[in-house]
Amino acid sequence: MEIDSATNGNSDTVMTESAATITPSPVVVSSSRSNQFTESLKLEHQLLRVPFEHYKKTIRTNHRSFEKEVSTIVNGVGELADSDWSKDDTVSRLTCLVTRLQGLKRKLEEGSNVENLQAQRCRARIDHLDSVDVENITEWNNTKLKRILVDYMLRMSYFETATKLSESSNIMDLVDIDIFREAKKVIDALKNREVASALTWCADNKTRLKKSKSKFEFQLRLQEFIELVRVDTAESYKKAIQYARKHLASWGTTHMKELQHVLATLAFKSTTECSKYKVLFELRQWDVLVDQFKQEFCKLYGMTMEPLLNIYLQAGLSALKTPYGLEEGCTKEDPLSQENFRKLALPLPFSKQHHSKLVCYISKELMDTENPPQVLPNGYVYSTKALKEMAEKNGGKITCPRTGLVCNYTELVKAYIS
Amino acid sequence: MSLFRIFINQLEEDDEDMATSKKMITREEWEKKLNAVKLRKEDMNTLVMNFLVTEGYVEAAEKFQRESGTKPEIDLATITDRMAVKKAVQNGNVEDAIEKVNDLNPEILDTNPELFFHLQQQRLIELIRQGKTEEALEFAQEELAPRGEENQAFLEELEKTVALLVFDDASTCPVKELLDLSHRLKTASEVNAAILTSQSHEKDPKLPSLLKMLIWAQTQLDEKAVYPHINDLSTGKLEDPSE
Repeated sequence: MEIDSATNGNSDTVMTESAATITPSPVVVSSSRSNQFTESLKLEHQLLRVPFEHYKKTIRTNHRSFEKEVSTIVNGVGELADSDWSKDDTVSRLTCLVTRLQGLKRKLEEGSNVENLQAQRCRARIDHLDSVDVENITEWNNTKLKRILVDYMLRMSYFETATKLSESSNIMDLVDIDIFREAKKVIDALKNREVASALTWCADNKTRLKKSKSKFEFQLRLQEFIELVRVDTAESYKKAIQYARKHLASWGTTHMKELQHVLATLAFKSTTECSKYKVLFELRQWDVLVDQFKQEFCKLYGMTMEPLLNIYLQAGLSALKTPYGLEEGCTKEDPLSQENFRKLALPLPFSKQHHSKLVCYISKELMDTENPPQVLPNGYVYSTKALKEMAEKNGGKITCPRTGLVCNYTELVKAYIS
Repeated sequence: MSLFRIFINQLEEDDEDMATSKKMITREEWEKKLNAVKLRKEDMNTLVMNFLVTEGYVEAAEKFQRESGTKPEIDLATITDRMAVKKAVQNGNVEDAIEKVNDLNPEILDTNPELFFHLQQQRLIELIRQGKTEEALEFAQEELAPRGEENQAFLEELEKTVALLVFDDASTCPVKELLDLSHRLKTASEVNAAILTSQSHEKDPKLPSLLKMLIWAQTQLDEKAVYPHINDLSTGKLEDPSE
C-alpha cells in the first residue's frame, strides 16, 4: 500500500457521474509536484521536533550533572588548600578527588556518545526529508507509511512489532522507539498505581513543565494524598496531613479550588457516599492520570496527541467522503464502499467540493469542455472521446460497459458541466 | 425626616427654576423650617432604649428605664444571657456558647441550621488554631461532614476550613481570613441577631438606620438644592451652604 502525498488546499474531488471513482491526480508538471512536497513537508513537524527536543534535553541533563560534579570537586580542592591536613590525609583526599574526576570523565564520554547518536538521528531525519524528489516519491511515500505505522504501534505499546518493522525497513533513525519506551515505564507504573516514576519524570522535566503551566505533578501529588486518606486509619490521616503540608500547600496560591476539594476528603473519608468526593476515590482516577501523562508527554516532545495514522486517515476519508459514496450503488474503487472505511468515516464531515471533476468510466480521463460528457439512453455518462473511439470500432454502435445496452452514436445526448 | 420630603416636593414643582440652577436655601430659612418640626420626647427615649437593648448595654438600659420611665421591649435579664453568648463566641469558647444558646432557647439552633453550622465551623477553626489536629479532624468527620452533604454552601465553607489543617504558616494560607478575629466577631454577630429575632426583636438598632436615612436624603437633595448640611453626625452641626 502506498500513500500519495496529501494535496493540501485542493478541495476538488475526483468522481464520476454515477460512480465516485477516485483517481490520483496525474503528474502534469514537476512544479505542481514540488508544491505537493512543500505541503507534505508541513506535516513532518513531529519527525524533526521529537529528536531535537530529546537532544536538547540530553544536553541540558549532561550539562547540569557536569556543573554539579565540577562544583563539588572544586570545593573539595578549595577545602584542601585552606586546611592543615596531615600528608596522608591530603593524599587520601586527593586520591578521592582524582577518582571523582575519572568518574566525571567517563560520564562525559558516555554523555557525549549519547549526544552524538541523537545528533546523528536529527541529521538522518533532515537528510531523509531532503532526499524527496519526483524520481523516488513512491519509495519515499512507502517509508513515510511505515513511519506512520510504527508511530501507531508505539502509541499502542506494540513495541516488538514496531521494532521488527523498523529494523526490517531500515528506518530506526526515523522512528522514536526509545522515547516511547521511556513513556511506557511511566504508564505501566501508573497503571500499577505507583506515582514514583511519574514524579521522577516530572522532576527531570521540571523547567519545561513549569513553562507550559502543567498541572501534572500537582495531580500526581493529589492522587498520593488520596491514597493515604483511602487507608482510613488515624495514622494514615496524620500522614496525609503531613504529606499535604510538605507537597501540596505550595500549590495553594495557584490551585486553591482543586486543593480544597481534595483536602475535604479528610472529613468525608473514603467510605463517603457524597458523589463530589466519592469520585476522587474511584480507581479510574488512575486512568485519568495515564491520559494526562500521555498529553503532557506529547506536548513536551511536540508530538501530535493523536497517532499520525488517525490523522492521515481522517484527513483522507473526509476528503473522499461524499453523499454518493455512502449509497449502495457506489463503485468498488471508492474506499467508502467498504464497511470498515464507512465506520471510520462516520463521525467525519463531508468533503467540501467547489467543483466536481467527472472522470470517464471507460478511459479514466477527465471530462471537460475539450472532452465533454455524453449521456446514453439508459442515463449513464461517458466521455465523447471514449464513445467516439468505440463507435468507430463498432460501426457507429455504442455498448454500455456497465449495463450492456446497445445504441447508436446518434442517440447520445451531450451533457453540460455547470 | 419628612421635612426633606417636603423640600424635595416643593423643589420639583418649581421646574423652571430647576432648569437654570439649583435652589439656594439659607441657613436662616433652614433652621426656621427645622424648628417647626415637633418631636415627642417619648419617641426619642424609645429610640435610645431600643439602641441600648439591641446593643446589649444592660446596666445602662436599667438606669435609663429608672430615670426616664421608658419601658424596654424585652426582659432586660435576657440581655445578659445574650451578651454572655456573644462574648463566649468572641473569646473562641464556641462549645460554651452553644450550651448557653440552648439554655436560652433550644429552638434557636433547631430552626436555624445555617447558624448551627457556622458555630460548628467556628469550633473547628478554634481546634485548628490550638493545633489540636486529631481532635479537629475527628470533629470535622463526625459533626461537619454530615451537614455539609445536605447543603452545597456548607460544603464550600467546610472545604475552606479543612484546608487550614495543611498550612503550617497562617500568613501564607489562602484562607487565612478564617483565623482572623474578625471571623469570630462575624459569627458572634450572627448568633446575636438570631437570639434577637427569636425574641421578636429587630436585629439592628433603629438609630443607625435613621442616620443612614439622613445621609441618603441629603444625597438626594444635593441634586436639587444648595442648603445647610450635617457633615459630622457625631455633633449634628449644620454647615453653611456653599455654592
